[in-house]
This record gives sequence, structure tokens and C-alpha cells, in this order.
Amino acid sequence: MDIHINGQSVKVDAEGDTPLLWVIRDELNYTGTKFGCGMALCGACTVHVDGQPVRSCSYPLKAAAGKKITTIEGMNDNITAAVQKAWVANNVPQCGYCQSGQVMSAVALLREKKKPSDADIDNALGGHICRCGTYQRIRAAIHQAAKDLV
Amino acid sequence: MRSPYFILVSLLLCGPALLAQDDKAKSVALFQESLKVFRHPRCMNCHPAGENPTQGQNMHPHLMNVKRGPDDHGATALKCSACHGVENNKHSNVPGAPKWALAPKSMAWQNTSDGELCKRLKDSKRTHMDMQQFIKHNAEDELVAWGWNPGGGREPVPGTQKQFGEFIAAWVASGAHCP
Amino acid sequence: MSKPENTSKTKTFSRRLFLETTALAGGGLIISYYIPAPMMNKAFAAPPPGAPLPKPNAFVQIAPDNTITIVINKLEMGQGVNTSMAQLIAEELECDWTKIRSVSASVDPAYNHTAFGMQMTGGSTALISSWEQHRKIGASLREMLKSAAATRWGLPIAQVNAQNGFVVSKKGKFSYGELAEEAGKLPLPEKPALKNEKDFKIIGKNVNRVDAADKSNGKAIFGIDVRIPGMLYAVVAKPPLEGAKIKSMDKKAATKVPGVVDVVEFYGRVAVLARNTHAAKVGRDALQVKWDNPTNGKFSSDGLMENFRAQAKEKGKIAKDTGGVDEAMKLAKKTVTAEYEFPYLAHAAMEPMNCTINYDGKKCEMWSGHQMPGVDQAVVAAALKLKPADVKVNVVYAGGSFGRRASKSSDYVLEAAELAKVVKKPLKVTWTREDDMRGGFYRPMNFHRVAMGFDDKNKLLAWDHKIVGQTVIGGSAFEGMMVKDGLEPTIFEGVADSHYQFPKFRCDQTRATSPVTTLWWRSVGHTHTAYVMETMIDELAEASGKDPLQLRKELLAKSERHMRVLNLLEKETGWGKKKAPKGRAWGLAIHESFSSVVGQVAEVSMVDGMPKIHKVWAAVDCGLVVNPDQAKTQVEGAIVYGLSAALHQHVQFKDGQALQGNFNDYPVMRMIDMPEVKVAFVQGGGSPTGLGEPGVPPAAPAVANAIYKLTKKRLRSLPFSKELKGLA
Repeated sequence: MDIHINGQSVKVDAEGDTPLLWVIRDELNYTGTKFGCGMALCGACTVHVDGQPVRSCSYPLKAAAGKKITTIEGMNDNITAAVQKAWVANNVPQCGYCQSGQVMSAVALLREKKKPSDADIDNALGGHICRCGTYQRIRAAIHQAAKDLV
Repeated sequence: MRSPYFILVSLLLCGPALLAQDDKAKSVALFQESLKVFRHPRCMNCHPAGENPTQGQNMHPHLMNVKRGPDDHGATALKCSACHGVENNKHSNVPGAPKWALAPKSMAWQNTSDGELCKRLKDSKRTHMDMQQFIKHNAEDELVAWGWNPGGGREPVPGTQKQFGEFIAAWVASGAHCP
Repeated sequence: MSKPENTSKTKTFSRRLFLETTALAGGGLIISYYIPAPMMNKAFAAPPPGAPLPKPNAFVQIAPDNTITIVINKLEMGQGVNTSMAQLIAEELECDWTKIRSVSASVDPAYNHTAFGMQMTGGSTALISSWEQHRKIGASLREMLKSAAATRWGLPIAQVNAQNGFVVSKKGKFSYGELAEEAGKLPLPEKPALKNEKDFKIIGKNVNRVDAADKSNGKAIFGIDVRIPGMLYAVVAKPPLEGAKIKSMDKKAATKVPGVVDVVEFYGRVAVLARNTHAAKVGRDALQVKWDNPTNGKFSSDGLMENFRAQAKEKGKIAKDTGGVDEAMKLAKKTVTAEYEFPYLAHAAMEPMNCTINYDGKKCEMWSGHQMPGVDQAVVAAALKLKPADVKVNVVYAGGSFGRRASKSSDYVLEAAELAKVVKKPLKVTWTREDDMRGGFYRPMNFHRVAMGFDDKNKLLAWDHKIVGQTVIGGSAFEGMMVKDGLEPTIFEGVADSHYQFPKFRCDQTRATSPVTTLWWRSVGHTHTAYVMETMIDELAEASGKDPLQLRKELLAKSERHMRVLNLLEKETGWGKKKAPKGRAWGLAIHESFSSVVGQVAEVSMVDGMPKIHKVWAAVDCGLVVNPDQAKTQVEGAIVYGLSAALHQHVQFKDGQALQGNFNDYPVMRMIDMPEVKVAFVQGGGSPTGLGEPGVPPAAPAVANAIYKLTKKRLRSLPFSKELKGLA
């Protein structure tokens, strides 16, 4: 089937129930999207489907028909740039494995809420696990990105 | 069927002896039996009283700090649809059904007495349904249907949706009395 | 076919590893595999005398465009070595920090750990072990660049200076890129002068992580992201019980899974090879394998704990004894006795174990977050009957490790090699989360019993401490060297070497056996010993009617670093002057590990029966702080790591199998649970000491001490959720 990903339409030869994650990683080689749990528990595999964060490990390929998929590699707006800049400035990543997913949710949050509160951040990013414990810096970085975007 | 609820259904629908009983008591008894469905974790988990849905057979707070959000579909950037699709996902074991969302606050079942729950079910201002629509909702709605097909090793609510629809119809027909 | 792995790894496997590793490295290095704190201090007191300096070009490459590439001989697994170790070289090299790039080293003796004699990352030693070496490398190169420029100008070297990537003199300036080739031909300076601490421009500064951008935009390549042409994806069915052998295997259903290419029996396991990871996993799950004859029966963790408890009644080996404990206890007018239980813990790094390997029958190349690349190389070379030089090891970013990737047996790398040996095609083996949590290696279970005896004025007479713990290093070939007379440091470190001055003190240790495989887990023995010591010290404070901070000061008066940390913590929190807000309480703990001292105060309230941690202050003495902001991240992370375990985590076994498998039943603290963490450093100076691990041990007891103030419950069986919510 055809899927629309990162601004391109590509042909994918895989079973309809294949989790989008593995199509993205193994078939299309967008490896910024990570495998962490396979059960939508950790958020490492988060991509955008029509602009909304979705756990690609729990999203069947067939559901992607007619939707616009964006992975971390396809994120190129000014909000993403501000988020990534703030991530660097705040030394957010440690091992970095979860951060693609965290960034995907942070950008989605900032697109809808220009000035998110701590609670907004806790709610929006509650689905992401970071074993290195970068949460405090993620919070600070989102606030900083929000400020920079004003 | 194994469930006492179905024994009761059968008795009430078919047992002339019981029909002789007081109508109101019969109706209340019917409602109380229906609680085996309404109060089941498969149903209750998404009918929270506050902002947070619950999860699992022990109805623990939904992991990930999941919130109701402004439209009962989750918080900004963490919508129900971030994880839940239109059907159960056999690979991730995440449950799914069409329209997956929380019941509105007006339909909060958690932290309510049985009597209050019953009143809410009959209150069209809360349900946005008349009683015929209410029966149909229980008998046919595709999200409600999930309760009988939760997949992934989750315990289904007892019986079938069709039987439950008939049961609710019987309760309504009996005057829909509340405890 | 290779012979099935003898799965009682701790008994036989490590011996093979020991011999091979020795052969590779020429002997004398195994002792450094794990060095208990007292020995480590000795090892780091001074660099080994006469140790030759590796050639600077093994660590630094200067390109004509002045880009400087620093080769990092430690695994970047989140702790920031690609930045902090580069800082050491860059400081002495007098270069422009913005021109610095870091890459991970492949395997070479030049990259061996300065104290451990093998190439590895661990024990919170990256900076401490590289402190002299890396600065000398930078200084040597600086002097060589200066010398090259001086020759060009015909000036004495004393008249040229190195500044920000240039050598300058009254005659002008040359960039390092211009001088690199000539400089590279010069001999290594004998004793390059090292800078004074007061002149540091890069060390001690908050330079941003060199890997931060790539880790924020998806470009960073982790082991699991490596892809080689024509590669197959493999997921493996492993024995469900230790030592179980394949009795029969039906692969029909697996081969029918779309995308599955092959099913291969190897190494006592079954691999499903497919064109993507998902198909391999579905295929693996569809396999019908019957297993037979496990070496270990259907044990349970509850049963094991009862066994530990029973052994605690018997005399073990004495790790520390001041003498006179029994006499003091007989005189005691009051005794307080407490028993503690600690569960098995999984590391649960975000990136599940994986290894990508290309073996064509003659040569082998592999990619992974190798924490001990030299060992992995040796083990794989032996398995494939190759020379180590014919096994190329590529070290890529690791998505966390916390000890897991420092596998004693190179388990997941060896598994990939054994499969490659049969398949002889490029392939990637990926573990699922459940494979990782259930088939892995654990922080061992431990049991403690402490008895404190008091006189009639509630003055402490004696502290009698018994620990029944499971070995981390024992049973291996290292046992002879590391475990003296049955005493294993990973069981009693943090107790026997405690700085608390007790009138009479004894620590008795029993090494219990258990079928569960174990491994070092961020801060190793200190994960449990600090908890017992610090919660009992609070109990001692209560029993003797003293403030917990003041009591610690009394008992630690002779330990300068501890006192500095306590004083800093007191200043930061206002302990004794300020109070926790209403409904909240403060708990305190301090602990030394990996040559650093960390004290923490946790501000806690109880919400729905479980602790909510609002804030943690940490005071840290880790010697000289190379990158203060990055150092803070290590402490922040350590607190989250320690508290996640304390609050929720345990791996329980029933019928010989681990019950927990993923983040639903092995919960991790999330954004909503994150306390505000405030880290302050004692300005220790000198050289750096460890920091990857020392933030972990005090976190749980600090919170437990606050919980006691709020609930009057002493939590002695971890995790907290077990006692507080009955979730066992």
C-alpha cells in the first residue's frame, strides 16, 4: 500500500496489521523513531499522524491509509526548531534514546498551547518514559521553547 | 449461562411466578442485576468521576497520567487515539474500539451510589438520550460492544451485548425503577 | 552447531571468558574487572608508575580544516563521556571547543582503562581514570604543535604560545590544522606541563553536550539503528528456565508468518530470521518449542527470600568487627532490631539489548553499545574461532545501560555471534522488552538484619549487622581474587566500610546461592546497603532523641568529606531552621560510593497512600567537577533511577520464571512523578571522583525517612508499593 510519510508518498509491502513502527524503522529506514516497549507504554516510538502524536508500535499500517505520517526526521517547522534548540541549551538528552519521542509530543503540545503550564506538560508528556531521568530538563526546555516562540 | 444475572433474566422474562411480584421491586431487582455490567471494570474504567480514567481489573489510575481533556478524548498531545485504535491491537495488546474515549463527566459512574447511577442513566440531560435511544445504545453501540470483546486476556463483561440490550429493555419496560 | 550454552553462567561460563580475556590482554587484568572501593582508591591514588602514554593520535585527530576529533574510549550511554572526556583533552590542547567532535573508539590496547587494564566503561570511573591520561595527551599534543610552529619560525619553543586552536608568536600564527602533519612526526614530550586548576578554561565549565543536537533530531545512531546491506532481522526464543534444552521444535506456524525467511536452531536456542523485526518477533512467538531438563527447578522469589531469612540466623563471614559486640549486646537495656528485604531488579535501559553482526566465515564485524568492547571482541573471536584482530568492534551510542551492557558473559553479543556462525549472513538480533526483563540479569536479592543495643540512657552500645546477599562477582573466575575468604564486597560495601563511628560494630555476611543470574546494577551493593544504613541511622536518631542531621554529624565528625556534604546540605535546605510545608516532611540520607559522597534531603507528602516526592536537594562531593551542569544531570538521573526502583520495582519469580515483563508491571517514574531536583557541589577540587552512580544510593532512604515522619511506618521490604498498597 501507499503511505504518505515525511512529505513523500511511498509504497510499502507489508501486512496491514504490521505496527507502523517497524515499517518506519526497518522498511523505510527512519531510525529516529525508537522501539522501547512494543505496548504503547514508553512513548519512544511516537510519530505524528495528521499532526497528532501517536505510538507507532500500537498503530497498524492499514490505519495509515490516507493519513499524513511525520517522523522526527520530517519535523521541520519553527516550533520543532525552537524545541530542539531548547533541548540542546538545557542539556536535556543523556542516553537520548527516548528523546525523539519526547520532542514529538513537546512540539504537538506547543502547536496547540503557546504557553503551556507545568500541568499541561505533565499531561502531554505523561506517556513518555526516560530512564535517565531527564524530565525536569524537558519541562524547562519546553518552557524555554515557548518563550522563544513568542 | 453461568452468570446469575442470566438466570435472573431468564426468570424475569419467562417466569410467570415472578411476574406476580411487586412491579417496582422487580424493576429494582432488574437494575441491581444490570450492575454486573455497569459496575464491571471494563465499563467503569472509562466512566470516571474526575479527570483521570482508570485501568485494569483492579481499576488503578490509568498509567501515563492520562487525562480526560476538554472533550473527553484526552489531553493536548496525549489523546486517547495516541494509543487506542478502532480495534484491539493484538501486537501491542492495547485495547481499541471505534470512538474510544471517556464518557462525559455527566455520565460519571465511579464514586456514585447505585441509586445515583440509576438516576443518571435515566436523566436525558445527562445521557443526551431518551429511553429508547438508551436501550439501543446499550444493545448496539460499537464502543459499548467492546466490553464483551475486550481481547488481550481482559475479562469481558458477562453475557452478550444482545442479551444485555434485552435486559435493559426489560428494565425500562418494568418502569425503570431505581434502588 | 555450537554446544548449548551452559546456562548456569556464574559457575562455568566466566572461567572460559577469564582465560580468553587473559590471553588477549596478556594477563593480569582480570582483577580489575570489579574493584571494590578501597582497592579502587588505591588504584587511583596515582597513575601506575611508568605507564606509557598512548600515542596522542589514537585519541586526537586534527584535520586540515581545524576540526578536532577526539576519540572517546568509553561508551557514551548517557553519562556524557563524549563531552566530559573531550573537555579533559581540549583543556590542555588549548583548542577552540566549538571545533571539537567526539567519536567512539574501536578496540585497541591504547584505549584500555588506565586502572583496569582492559577497554571498558564502568564503576563510575570514566573521569577519574582518564584525568591524568587525557590531560597529558592534550598537553603532549599542544607541545608538539608548538614545537612544529617554533621550527617553522626558527624560534625557541619558549617564544611560542598555544591559544584557542592556534600557535602564536611575534612572527604570526599557524592554525593547528596547518601544523598537524608536522607535529605528528615529532617525538612525544617526556613530561608535558599540565595546567593549573586556576587556569582552566574548559574543565569546570558548562559546555553543552556534543551529542545533544543529534539526540534531539533523531540523527544519533544507536546499536538498534545500525543497518547493513542485505541484513536479516532476528528475534530469538530462549530457554524459559535456566539450563533447559530444546526437546522438540515445531516451526510450521513461524515459517508461515509473512516476512519470515528462516528458522534456525542454534546455541540451545531458536532464532526466527525475517525481513523486519516485527515479522521475526511474530514468528518467534509462533514457534512451538518444548524445553526439557532445566538445571534449576521451579523456584520462587518468595521461597528464596525465606531461604535467605533462614540463613541470616547462621553465622557467616565477618566483614568488619571492632570486637566486643556480643558483650555489649548482653549489657544492653534496650535493643532495636530490624529486618530488610530487597528484591531482584532489572536494569530496563530504554534501548533493549541488540547486536548487529556481519560474519562471512572469515571475518566478523559487529555493532552495539559495547560497554566492554575488548571482552566482547575476545568472546566473539573465540566463538567464531577467529583472531581477535579479525573481529572488528564498532561502538555506537547505547540507549542507557545502568550496568546491563557490561555483561560478564557478553551474553547478547555472544548470542548474535553464535547465530551468525550458523547463518553466515549479516543480521541484527533484537531483544524485546520482555526478553530483556525476563531473560536477563538482575540486581540480586538481599536480606539484612540490624540489631542496635542501647544502655539505660538510650546511648548506642553496639551495632550488629547481618547481611545475606547473593553474589554479583562470585562463582566466576574472579572469585579467587576478588572474594577473599568468602567475603564479597558487593554484598557489604557501604556497611563494613561505613564512616559512622559506632562504639562496637560488626558486619557479618553470608553469600547465598540462587538460580537467578545477577549483574551490577547502577551503584551495585550500595543500592541496598545505603538504604539499611541510612534508615537505621534515622531510627537511631529517634531512639536517642536526636535530630537526624546532628546525629550524623556526631557520628561522621572524623570524615571531612561527609561533614562538608552535610554542612552544604544544611545550608541548602535550611535544615533545623526551616520546616517542610504543611502535610510534607523532609527525610535525609548521606552515603559514600565510588569515591564520592552524596547527601540528599527529600521533601515528601503522602497521596492516596503512596509517597509524592516534591523536591530533592542533593549535596555532592565528587572532587573536581569537570562539567557542572552535566554533573547535575547525573545526579538528577540517579535520583529518578533510585526512586523508580524504591517506589515500584521488583522482579518476582514464580515457577522459576520472572513475572514482570514490561513497563506496565515494572513501572518507571514519569514526568508527573518528577520532583524538583536541586544539586549543589562541594567545591572539592583536586581530581574528579565517580558520579554516574553515587547519586542513586541516598535517594530511597531519604524518601523512606520522610515517609516515616508522615506515616510512622518503617518500610523494610522493598519496593514501597508492596507495603504501602499491598501490591506484592
